Amino acid sequence: MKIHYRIIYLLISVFFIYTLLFCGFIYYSISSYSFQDFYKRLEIRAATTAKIESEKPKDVSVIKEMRQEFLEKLPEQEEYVYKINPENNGLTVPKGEDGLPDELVADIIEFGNGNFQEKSKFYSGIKFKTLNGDSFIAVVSAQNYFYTHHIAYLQNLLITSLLYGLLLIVFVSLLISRTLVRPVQNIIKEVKKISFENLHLRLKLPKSKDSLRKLALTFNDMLNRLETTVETQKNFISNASHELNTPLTSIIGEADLALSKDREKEEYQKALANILSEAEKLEKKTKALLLLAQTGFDGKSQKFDILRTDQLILDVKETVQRINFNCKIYLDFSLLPENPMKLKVNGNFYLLHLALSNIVLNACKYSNDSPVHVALGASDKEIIIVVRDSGIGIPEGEMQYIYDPYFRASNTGDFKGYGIGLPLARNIIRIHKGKLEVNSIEGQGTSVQINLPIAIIKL
Amino acid sequence: METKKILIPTDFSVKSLNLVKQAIETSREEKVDIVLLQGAYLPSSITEMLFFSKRKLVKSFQSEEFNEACKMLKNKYDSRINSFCVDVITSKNNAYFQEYLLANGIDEIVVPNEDSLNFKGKNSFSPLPLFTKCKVKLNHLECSSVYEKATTVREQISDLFFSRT
Repeated sequence: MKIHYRIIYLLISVFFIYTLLFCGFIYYSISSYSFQDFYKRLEIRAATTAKIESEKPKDVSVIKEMRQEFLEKLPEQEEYVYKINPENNGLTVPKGEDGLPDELVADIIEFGNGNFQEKSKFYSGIKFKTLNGDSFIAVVSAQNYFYTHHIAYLQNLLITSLLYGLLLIVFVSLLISRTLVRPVQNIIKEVKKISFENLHLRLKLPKSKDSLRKLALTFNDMLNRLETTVETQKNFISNASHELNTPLTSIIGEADLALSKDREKEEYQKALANILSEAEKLEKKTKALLLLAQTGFDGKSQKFDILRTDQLILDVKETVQRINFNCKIYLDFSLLPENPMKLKVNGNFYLLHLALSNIVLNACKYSNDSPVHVALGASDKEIIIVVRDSGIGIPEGEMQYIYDPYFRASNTGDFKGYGIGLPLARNIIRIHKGKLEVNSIEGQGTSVQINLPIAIIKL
Repeated sequence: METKKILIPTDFSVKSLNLVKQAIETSREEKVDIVLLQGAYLPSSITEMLFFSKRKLVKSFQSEEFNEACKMLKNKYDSRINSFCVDVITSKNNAYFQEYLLANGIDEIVVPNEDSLNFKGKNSFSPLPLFTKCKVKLNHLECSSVYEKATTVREQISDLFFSRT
């Protein structure tokens, strides 16, 4: 069901149930009040009738006067006064009269007073004793005008107002759902317009500062990221072929030149050495590419073992110093946990070694061989490795692209590189369910923090 | 085995935890109890006072990095740290602070140099002036970091390392 209709149905049902309950309550309480009120009026009349019957004749005139003056006659008011037979608790009803309903009489005799309703005719009566000791009952009956006319009017009024209310509710809920759903629909419409070809389009931001604006902002943010990824994907092939082409061209050129005429032995050796070095470069590049492609998968082909991170870091240090003699790497094990179990991770030694050495090598390279600090520590669930240099840093605006393959920051012109190391490292860390975070200030240095989950070893 | 309870002021930055490191290294006792302390003003509005809870207040100060760094320290000195807790005092009153020290059985207070901690955060104040008037043993520590500038930009766990390199 569309959310549009769902909102409407929900609003209508809630409002309708509310008004229905409201009307029902009013109807019920008004009618019950009118009943009670009418019975009270009847009872007063019954009481005065009883008084007139039972008091001394000289007082009776006063009471009659009072009744004449203050108690108006109700519609179809009738008064009955009957004597109670002491023998059988029955009434002595004069002939030619209908008498009273049995229920009412029984009530009055038992409790001293009683009420009764027969259609729109209401009865109310009391029991009393005259001066000479006889028991009587006095009953007054009348038509309840309010019940017959006003209640019906109230009923009609409530029903019509309910119908009008329903109309109003439908209208209001339509309006509300419109205003609520319209902006969402607008966003849907705009997002639908965006496809692979026009990724540069962005959503219009609503003026109000609500969650819809946030939604649009989030969409735009996502589009930004998508666009850059698509752009780098597009550039990847051209970049890759360019990277591979450069050493190939020099190999071909060198071979061509060597073969163009007969040469001395030394010259051939020199040419072959050149070709070899270029071919090695090519191999490195293809290997890096291959690794990047491999690690881009879910890591299903890799074998994972339990390994110690301090061992790993020492190994990395050795490797890096073999590759680059000028590297000054300082290890900081000051926060090494006492419990060696907290140093173990579940991972592939070769891959982690590759990722770490990449990062450390980069740190050395981009800081012109000034000291690089590598630190290791462990919290309860994660092992934290920090690599910190005081090199050229990464410009702030380019931080979001550093994980794109072949991206190189604008200040790396003086350094050789392919732009594969960091994305590769991140892929590897991701395979190990870890986190790689880069913080950098341009011109001051970069710190890379790697969090790896501690292996859970069952003994 | 004797345990010593050390009170260490903190501004809830990772860098300030270097004091903990130094305090443990310099103490001769085998076991230590660490109490990190910051001054925090109580909220002034009545509705905030109604729902005030000290635990929530302390929690609001602690960043994820801070917690992570605390855990790292705990792992590092696993056998020496007996207990580790973070607390706030809510008054600059001297008598209140004396009472606090007495109630918590503090044996030693670490006093860093004046400008090493930054108490400019919201609703917080420095407990350092209170330390000068108390009878508990004071332990003055130098707190410095070569990466002074880099740390001001963003809180990083790496602040905990390299403090004396």
